[in-house]
Amino acid sequence: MTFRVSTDMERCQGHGKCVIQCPEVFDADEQGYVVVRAGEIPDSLRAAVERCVDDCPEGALGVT
Amino acid sequence: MGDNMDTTTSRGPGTGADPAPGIDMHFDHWSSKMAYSPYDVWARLRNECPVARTDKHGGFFVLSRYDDVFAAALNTETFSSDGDGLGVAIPPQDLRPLYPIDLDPPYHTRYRQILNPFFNMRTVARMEDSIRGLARELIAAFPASGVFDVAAAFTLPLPRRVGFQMLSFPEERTAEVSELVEAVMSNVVERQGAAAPRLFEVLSEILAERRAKPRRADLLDTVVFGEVDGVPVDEKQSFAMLILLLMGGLATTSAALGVMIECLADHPRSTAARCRRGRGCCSASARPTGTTGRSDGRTRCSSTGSRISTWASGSARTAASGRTWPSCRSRSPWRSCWPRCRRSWCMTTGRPTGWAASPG
Repeated sequence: MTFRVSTDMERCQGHGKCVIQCPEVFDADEQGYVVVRAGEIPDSLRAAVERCVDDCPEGALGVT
Repeated sequence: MGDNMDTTTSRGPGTGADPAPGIDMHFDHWSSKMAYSPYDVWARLRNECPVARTDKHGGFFVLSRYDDVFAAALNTETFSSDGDGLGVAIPPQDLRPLYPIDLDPPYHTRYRQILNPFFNMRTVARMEDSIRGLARELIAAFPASGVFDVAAAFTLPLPRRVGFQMLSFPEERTAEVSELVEAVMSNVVERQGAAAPRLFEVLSEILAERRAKPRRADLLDTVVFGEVDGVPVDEKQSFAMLILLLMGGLATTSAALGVMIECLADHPRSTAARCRRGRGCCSASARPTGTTGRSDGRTRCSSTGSRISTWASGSARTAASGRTWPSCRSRSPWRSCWPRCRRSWCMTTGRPTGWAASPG
């Protein structure tokens, strides 16, 4: 099973905490803002991604 | 003063003898109590009075629960960083507004954007080798006895050297600027005494010198010549950005480094495990000093990380103390205790807006 990650680019300020905590899923663009590496994320990464969602200081991430 | 406090927004136990819950605590983030041993105060606030009122600094409300602070940090309309021109600091500082932290979106975002290229992950990653080199140089100079003030030997000088390198500050100015920034940061309540005017003078000179020189693609150039929405920043904005970069780059970073070393020192076994896993916390030669590197100073962690800098002022002269994190006493590995630790005691991310609101 897989899931999707949503990003709110107006909120993202490029803290990069998600990239550090879960580089399998998150990357930073040239400016430092979040990029999600894949559309469908395997469920095995769900817990790690949910922690990133909780930890994002701007509330810019979501799981759908 | 406490007798006149409005109790309608308070949710504490609200006994008749306590008209404004929390008021009896006279909460003051600048007190030495909050600097040296804040955890029981935070615990009491969270448990008994999550929206507390204090009579200090003209009176303000204090949020202490993670969810409340987080929600307030994101709700910039209600909890403005601009604060009608007063800015985020309590009490309001003479040096304001500081760009960009004393701004609300969308202005905050725009000013932050011009600085982001110098601080985004890729840029910083390219600095890793040189920063590691500086760190190793400092570590190599640690006294062989293993007993020393890790702040003086490491957490203060490292960010200074990196920061001034990034800002390409004139070499002969860096010592004085470091001292002035520390003096300003450690004496906020008394309005910084003589240090603030002198810092203003020195930085104004540095900015003027740079303004007269040809453009070059570095951080100080952006501070002096940056444009927001096509409009060049003015001198006041340049100055405000530079001050903030110095406070963040020197004081906040020193304090954060001290907190990290303390946490690593308190969890030496999991530190070693992290190193083995190559998680990047340290290299073999930069191994934290365990229990030997502690100073007499104290590190403290506020409930909002953005305040770490100011509370740790005195400054990160402090660094690793001998205490353990109250919420990290379990035997669980550092990695698994850290999120809990961070959530309840040392959230390192929230914007200052969330932490306390000035009275309406």
